[in-house]
Amino acid sequence: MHKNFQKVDGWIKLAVKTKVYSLPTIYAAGYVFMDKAYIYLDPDGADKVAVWLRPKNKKADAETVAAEFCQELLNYAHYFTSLKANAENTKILLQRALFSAAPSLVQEAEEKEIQDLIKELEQEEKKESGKRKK
Amino acid sequence: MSVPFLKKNKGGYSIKFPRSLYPASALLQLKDLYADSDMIVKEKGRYLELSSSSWTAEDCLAVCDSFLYCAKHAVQAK
Repeated sequence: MHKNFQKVDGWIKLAVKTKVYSLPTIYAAGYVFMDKAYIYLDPDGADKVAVWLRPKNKKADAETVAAEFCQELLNYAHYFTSLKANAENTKILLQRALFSAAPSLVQEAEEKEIQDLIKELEQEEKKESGKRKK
Repeated sequence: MSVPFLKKNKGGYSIKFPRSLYPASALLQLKDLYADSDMIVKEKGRYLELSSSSWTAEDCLAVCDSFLYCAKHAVQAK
């Protein structure tokens, strides 16, 4: 038995640190595992979540299923990390794709940006002139 | 099945869920799913206790599945 697994009446309980695996990661891994096991989540102190697993197939080995769940946690942790790292690039690619389909949108976006800059400059000038009067 | 979150009552079984991990929006969705059942929801401190006079232990586990599904989507929607 893995040292982090606790066997309780057909269930395996494992403690997952939320500092290592975020809550969305735990939910995502649990969701994917719903066809293989019953999953129950419970807080385990301030920084851990206890994940209780019971295989749906009575012939399946609970410890093996729990180990597979740990693999899935790692998979989703990597997925969410990559998603976050690539978010800006994905946004740029989508914008390019959108603007290439409708070039007039580029002009509109540029005009709006110029108007926003002009407003910002006007506000700064007002602040400066206000300070000078004092 | 002597796990701390499953309990056999005089009539049927009950299962409790921590409110911090199974949010209120997920509970609303679960209630929709179980609208035709006689599910009773009680607040017991930091936990919600779901029970029904007709539920077996296996029925409680099916609720566990459904609630995780609802919780996952509720967290994703945020």
